[in-house]
Amino acid sequence: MSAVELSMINLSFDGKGVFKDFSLKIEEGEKVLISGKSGNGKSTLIRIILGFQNFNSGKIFIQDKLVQPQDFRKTRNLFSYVNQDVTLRPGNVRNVLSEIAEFSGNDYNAEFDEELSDYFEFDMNLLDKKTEELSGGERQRLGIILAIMLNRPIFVLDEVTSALDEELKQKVVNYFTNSDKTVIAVSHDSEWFQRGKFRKVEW
Amino acid sequence: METISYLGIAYLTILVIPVLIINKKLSIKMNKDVVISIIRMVIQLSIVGLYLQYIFDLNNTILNVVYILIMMVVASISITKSSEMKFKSILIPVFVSMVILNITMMLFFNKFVINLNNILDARYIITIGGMLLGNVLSGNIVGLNTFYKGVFENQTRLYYDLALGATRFQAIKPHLKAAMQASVKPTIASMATIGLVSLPGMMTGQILGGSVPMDAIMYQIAIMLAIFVTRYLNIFIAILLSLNTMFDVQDILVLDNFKSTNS
Repeated sequence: MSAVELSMINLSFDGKGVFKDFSLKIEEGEKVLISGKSGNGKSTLIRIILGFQNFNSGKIFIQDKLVQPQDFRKTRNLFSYVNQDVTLRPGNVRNVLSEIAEFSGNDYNAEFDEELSDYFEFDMNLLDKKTEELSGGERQRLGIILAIMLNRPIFVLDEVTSALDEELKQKVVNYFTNSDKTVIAVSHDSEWFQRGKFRKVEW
Repeated sequence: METISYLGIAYLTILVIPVLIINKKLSIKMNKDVVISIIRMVIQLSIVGLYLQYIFDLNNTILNVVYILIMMVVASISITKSSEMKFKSILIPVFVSMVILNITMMLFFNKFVINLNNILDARYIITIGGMLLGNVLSGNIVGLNTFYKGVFENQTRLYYDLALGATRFQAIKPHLKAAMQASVKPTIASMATIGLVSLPGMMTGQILGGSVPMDAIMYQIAIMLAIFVTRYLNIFIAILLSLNTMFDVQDILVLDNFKSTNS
């Protein structure tokens, strides 16, 4: 089964073509690294997959099913997404996390995972801070832990290691390399393809 | 009540002359606006005075309802014009919410608060309706702009929340709360200070018209409560109704609905 398949996607903004007959097939369990120079539409591609970006023509299949516009609300819940700046709501981290746990699309164990917290060296005391007080690296690790806790079949990680140090980058990459789930990562960091598990997609 | 004669108005107009002179001396560029505004005020109110007299004399139920509906159309257009959104995207949600809530409130007010025999009596429905509409107007402008400014500026967070499992309503909720607060804040503040600094216009009018203060106060309290509730519910329903045109079926904010998307 394929996790995500894009077929002949065309998209242009103000006459400038971003995607022309773009196709990409990602198998279930596969690890894909979306790479290439900035401004080539990597984040746009992620938005298309998640249904946050309309496109001019083409088809998208998720778990082998053709996705119609009205289906995205459902298919979205198959993805554990971390966005570039981990734009969580402002407020106390615990409160923000429990609000997320109460979102209608969710049904996961909302208790903060201490094992993951240890692994990613995320200080549990940070949960008592405000989201807007966390540093970029702290937010990225929080976003990653949250994405794992959501327990959905496909990870979509948009530049989630950019603010981490070497050692942590390695840990994050190791975690996702060894995961059984499908992983779609956008990154400029070389750590992602060192282990040879990630298929690099460039255009 | 002592009526004000044309001469009385003329006296006050004379007092504007020093203002114009000071403006001129200090080169404050305001005189043209002042003169035009005063002339507009006189003409508009004179027309209102004439046709209100006419409508009150006729006191025809259908005419009263039509008049109220016209007021609502004008108010809806005015709200839409003052918003950051295009006509086609919010005019209908604003109008529908206004019609449902204001007509309900007007009838409720006339029936249960004033206990009128004819709940569509022109003298009441047009004046009370006008006060409610005027307040809904400013409340909706503040509320809609607060809401869509918040949504527009925080699209990344909105989409992140949606991806994290939020429904559209859950994702917009922080902005909805902010918009409702911004919308009724002035009414709450004026309820808290009313009477301390100045007497409200309606009360002043009633007292000058010969009402005893306690009667005027009852009206004022009733109208403030009605304004508060109507304003609150109006922005809530207007925003909810507008979501279906402002977002598409994928919950993507339709940027084309904004007057300028590069703000």
